[in-house]
Amino acid sequence: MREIKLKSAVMTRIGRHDEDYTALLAQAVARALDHVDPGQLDSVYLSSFAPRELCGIDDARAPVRDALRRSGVTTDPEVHGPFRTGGEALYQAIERCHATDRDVLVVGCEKMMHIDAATASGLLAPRVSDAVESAHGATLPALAALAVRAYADAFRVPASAFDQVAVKNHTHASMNPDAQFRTVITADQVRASPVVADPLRRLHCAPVSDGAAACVLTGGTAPPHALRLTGWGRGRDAARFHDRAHPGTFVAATAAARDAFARAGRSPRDVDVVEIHDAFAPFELMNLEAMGFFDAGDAWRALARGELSPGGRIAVNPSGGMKARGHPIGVCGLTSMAEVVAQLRGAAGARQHPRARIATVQSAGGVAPDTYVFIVEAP
Amino acid sequence: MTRRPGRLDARRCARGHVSLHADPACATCGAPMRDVRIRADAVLELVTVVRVNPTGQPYQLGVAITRAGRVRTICRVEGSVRGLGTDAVVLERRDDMIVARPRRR
Repeated sequence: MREIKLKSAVMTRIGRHDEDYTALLAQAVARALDHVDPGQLDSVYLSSFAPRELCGIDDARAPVRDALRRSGVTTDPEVHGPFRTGGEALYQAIERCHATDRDVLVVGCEKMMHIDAATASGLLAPRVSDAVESAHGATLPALAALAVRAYADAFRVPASAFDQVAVKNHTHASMNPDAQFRTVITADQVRASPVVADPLRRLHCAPVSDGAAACVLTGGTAPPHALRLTGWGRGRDAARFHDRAHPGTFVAATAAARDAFARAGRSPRDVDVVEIHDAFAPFELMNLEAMGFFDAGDAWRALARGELSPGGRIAVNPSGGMKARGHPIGVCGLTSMAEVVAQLRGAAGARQHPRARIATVQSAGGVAPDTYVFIVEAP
Repeated sequence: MTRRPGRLDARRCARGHVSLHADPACATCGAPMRDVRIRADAVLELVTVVRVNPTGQPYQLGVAITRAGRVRTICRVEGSVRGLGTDAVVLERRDDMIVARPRRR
């Protein structure tokens, strides 16, 4: 099997962008291809959750072709997608890397902030939950709230732990110049924020965001300093939340992590940095446990001891995560990849985790019915 | 609408998987489904109050499990409940939704 290497992984600032979808996407493509031979590009995998619904773009591959031309790509690489998550696009791109010596570009883009959050929520509703559940008023935060209630009850996790996840990730984001929220918050502010669907409050929930990110992978030759993508895995759960036998446990994350760690010959104990799905703050704890970093119901104790920040036992969402770095939905697996690459290169500035050598990225959509996990290692 | 009190329209495949929703094929195994009637007694497993939603009015959303056949379903919830597997409820079909309300003692 070929060794897959990361030639680059970049992201734009997350937050409101005045430029349109095409220009935002072109920024990420240009930076990803900055030190890459454009003639070596084999294909492109695009992730974008709802370009038609949010931006009226019927064929999201057209802006990619435009961005490639602007970056000096004169060949006509095939563009695949759009895939719903960065993780799905990455996974497909890795499969392609096993069949070619040339480079594969993965790019994600989302523009959400030109419309208000309530309208965006309405436009996205048919894409984020099953039709039957949607007809019952099962918004994404509502389903997330049900999952969190099941988790908290099964493992006796105190609600204050969920507040502390939000506090931690805002603190991390305050050290990230590309993050959407750079202000520190307190647990009292989280508790005072309005209830969205109990037990979730507004400050437990990730925002809507604009942003783009991209990376270049290869199964061929790469510079000696290129990072290695040593593991990847995918897991699935019932598409309908109510069909899940264990609604408070993310079995898809467990399967994806088991697959990825086995492929890499690693275990969660080896990992220094993890960027994990935290579209709702409690999901961070649930996913850490599902992926084997902690026993079920134990992650909140490590959080309370301060072990989940840079310099601690393991840096969890040092970028600020979706919660505070920002949440351009279809881009998130790629923004996470950009963060772990910065960490493994020692280029993460004030939020740098010391001696980071091995990192994990988790990418999932919605209430995590389809989850991808990747292991990245320093050369 | 429920045609007889305490019973609910449902669909069952040849392998015995039951759904309360109008699926043309079984969501578990893909087999064709046929109409059946099941008892409407259930236990409410989870509940949340959805305060931020497109309607602007809060409502209760839950997951219930029927006592007979242990069929799981999403449902709107009416009345005072605690959730977390302690509430006995009766399910009924109303418009396109399954609605759970506390069973009278």
